[in-house]
Formats: sequence, C-alpha cells, structure tokens
Amino acid sequence: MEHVTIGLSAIITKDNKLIKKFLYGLIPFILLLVGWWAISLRLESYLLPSPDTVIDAFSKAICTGELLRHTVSSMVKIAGGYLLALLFAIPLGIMIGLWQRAHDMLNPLVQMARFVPSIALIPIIVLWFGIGYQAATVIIFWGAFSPVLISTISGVEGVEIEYVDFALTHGAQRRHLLTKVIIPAALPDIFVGMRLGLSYAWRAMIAAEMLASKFGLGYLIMDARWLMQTERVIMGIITIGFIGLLLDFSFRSAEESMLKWRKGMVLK
Amino acid sequence: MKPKLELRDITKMFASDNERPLIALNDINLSINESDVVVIIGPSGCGKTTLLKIIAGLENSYKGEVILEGKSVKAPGPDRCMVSQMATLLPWRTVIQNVEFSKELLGIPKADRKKESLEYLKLVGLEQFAFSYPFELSGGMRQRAALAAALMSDPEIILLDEPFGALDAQTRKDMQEELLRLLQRTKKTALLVTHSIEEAIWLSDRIVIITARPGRVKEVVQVNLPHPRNRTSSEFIEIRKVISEMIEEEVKLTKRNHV
Repeated sequence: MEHVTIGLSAIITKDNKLIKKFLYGLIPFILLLVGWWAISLRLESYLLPSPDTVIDAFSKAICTGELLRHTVSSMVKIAGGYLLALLFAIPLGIMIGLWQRAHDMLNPLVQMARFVPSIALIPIIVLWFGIGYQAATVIIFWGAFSPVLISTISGVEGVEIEYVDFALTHGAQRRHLLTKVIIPAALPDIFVGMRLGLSYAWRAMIAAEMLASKFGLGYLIMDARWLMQTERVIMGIITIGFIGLLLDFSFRSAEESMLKWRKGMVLK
Repeated sequence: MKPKLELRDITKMFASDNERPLIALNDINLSINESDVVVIIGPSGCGKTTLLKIIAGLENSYKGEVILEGKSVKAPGPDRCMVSQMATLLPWRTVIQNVEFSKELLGIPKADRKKESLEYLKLVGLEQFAFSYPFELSGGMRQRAALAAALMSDPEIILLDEPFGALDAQTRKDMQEELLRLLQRTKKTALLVTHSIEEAIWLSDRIVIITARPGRVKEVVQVNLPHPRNRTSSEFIEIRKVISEMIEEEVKLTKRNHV
C-alpha cells in the first residue's frame, strides 16, 4: 500500500511541476495585461485601445472569418518558403561541410548573404515577382536559408572523427558514412538552425506581407493601420506572437523526441 | 603456423615545423598468432596509438605493410575492429543499436541481428541496458558495450587502445577479467595498447615493448604464466621488474632528448 501512495505522489509531483512551470510562465503575461489596461485608461483609444476593445476586435474578426483567412494565408506562405529553404540549405550545407573546396569557394558568399536581411530584398523581389505569394515565398526563403545553411555547415564540420573511425572499423563503407554518421551526428546543429530559420522566416514573412502582399497577418496590420483601427493592429501583433509561440513549441517537441539521446535534453 | 597478423617494416613520419620530419615509428616488425593476446607497452608519445590506427587502416601515409591472414590490408574494415580509448559508441544509437551496427551495415535482417546482439549483451552483462543510450551508462558499462559491438563485428583481430585507461582501479580490474574471459571464450586474437605494466602482464601472452620516439620494438617478452594470474606471485613480480626497468630506461631517454 505504501509504495502505491509513493508512486501516486510521484505522479502528482511531476504534474505539479508542469503546472507550476506553466503558471510561472503566465505571470509576466498577467502583469503585462494589467499594465496595459492601466495605461490604456489614461490614453486616447486610437493610441492604445483597452484590452477589452482588442478582445472585441478578436471576436469580430473570428466571427467574420477574417482572422482565420489571414492566418491561413500566412501559414501557407511560411510552409512553402520555409520548406523550400530547408530543401536547399540542408543538402548544400552538408556538401559545403564535407567538401573543403566548396567551403573555400562558397563561404565568403554565404557569410555576406547572412548580413543581407530579407527586408532589404523586398523592393527588387516585388519588381521581379509582383505582389503576392511568389514574392512572399522568395522573401521567406531568404530569411530561413542562411541560418539553416550555416548551422548545417558547422554541424557537419563538427562531427567527431572518432564516430567516423568507429563506423569505419565496424565495417562502414564511404557511402554509409553520410546517413549512418554525418547526418545523425550533425542533427542537433541542424535543428538549431531550423529553429532559428523558422523564427527568421516568420519575421521576414510579416515584413513581406506588410509591404508586398494583399493577404496575411502582416497585411492585416497594415490594413488596420490605414483605417486607424489600432485595436486590430494590436490583434494582429498578438496573433503573430501567439502563432510563433505555437510553432516553436511544436518544433521543440519534435526536436526533443528526435534527440532523446542527448544528455541535456533528456534531463531537462 | 601462419601468423594471423604481420607488421612489416612499419615506419610513420609526421611533418613538423622544422625541416626534419618527426619519425613516430621506425621499422616496426611484429607477428601475432591466432588467439594470441599481445600487449604493446611503451613510454607515452612512442606512437602506440598511431601503430594501432595504422593496423586499423585509419592512417594512410606510412611505409611498410600490414598483413592480415596473408593478405596486405590498407583500408579500414570490420576484420580489424578497434575499441578506442574513450569506448566510443555512436551516441544517437541505443546500446543494442550500437552493438548491431556492424550487422546492420551488412544488411542482415533486423530480427536476426537483434537476437545475436542480445546474446553479446548478455555475454558482457548489459542485457538490461540494451535500450539505454550511451550517455546513460557508466564508464565501465560503456567499455562493455564497446566490446560487445566489436565482438559482434566478428573481427579477425580486435584492437584495443588503452581501453581501461579512463576507469577507476576497481572497475579496471573487473574489466581486465571480463576482457580475458571474453577473449578466451571467443578465441579472438587481440592486440592491446596500455600504459599499465601490471595490466600487460595480467592479460597477455606476449608483451611488446616500444622504445621512446622514434618508436621501435625494443623487446618482446613472453609471458608463460597460467591463467588466472596472481598479481603477487614471485614470477609476476619478476616480470614486472624486468619490464619496468626497460620502460624506465626509455623514459629517461625521452627526458634527455627533451632537455
């Protein structure tokens, strides 16, 4: 009987920890909300609408389907541009990481490209592709590309030679090394790049939508701005942050289940 | 009897800053018979690990020949499996996935290789840890897992590079016993590099003493004591004395060269 109680309390404590963690994370949000509400009492509504005005805007936008439409539009864009970036950046990063000559040749270009933000490309991209999905995809692609590429390169270059030696002396041929050693060993770094790339892509996309689109959460904010509907601007900002949070959370969960073998991640 | 492994005139040079290349190994000749346990011992920096890597096929610019079962070998392969100093395992694979790695590369069906690797894990006493990741194991357990992985690849000769160097004294003794038991049971030929004279005498049929750099074979000592050996017997102590004198001589030489 005693050990049953102990087992049970262990489960409860574990759950408690999660709940506690969640509650702690909630505190700043509550403070922010209270502060916002207090300040909004003293300001004109067009400068800072009160939280309940924004909630009204939310419910209206949800009912009309406007919010969903823009959110879906943004999600479709990010999925396309981001996946395309992964598709090019990861193989290219592996190639540069493995092949010294490719590194020597491409590294200066890569390092330079890294410092050109997607937003700087918007004018020329719009010139070439016009306003719409194509332009947004290219801009998102650019945002995600560099961080994924650079992390992949450093992941591949950082593969411990002892893992390669282990594989070779246990019968691996050259052709096995890529899938059996290089990629799994570089995966934690690739994941770091993918997460970073996702947040960059998300920002690039919002910028693109604000400047070169007729749909999406970025466009929603610009549209509201032109109509002086500050509460809808804030609604857009909150939605952007919230979806970003959801994306990152799902990303982390995927990462954690794929990288169980890493000490730090399991113990956390 | 034809030797299992033969080293012919192995010489290895490293490029160094001043013009004269550094000679790490000089004309190493050695032959190892089937089921022999041979230990290489020598002052640090004498090229012991380099020699093991040459045999394993992990070094490519050297002179001389490595002959396994009458055939010259250059590229790495599972016939000369190596257990490294740090008991390297692939950290993203579970213990059992590491053990069955060599069979997976050969394309052996999953069920078959699982069965076989579980047998090896049982042999080294790790069956409860089959599905753990390497980071969850202690140093001694990692060594056992690395040994199981090496045995699973069914090598002609198993190469061990200071396998127990990182373990505490007690675990080290246990692992020496374990290794001897495994080698006797599987009748594998083994070549082991160590710093420890006692370990060398306790395990080996022959001890090869390498000189200070440039590394040459200084002496080969036959150990004809029956197993299990008694570390405090007079014969054991006598051999230990002879070997430590030889090594001290070399260490002194190294020091003189450095001053």
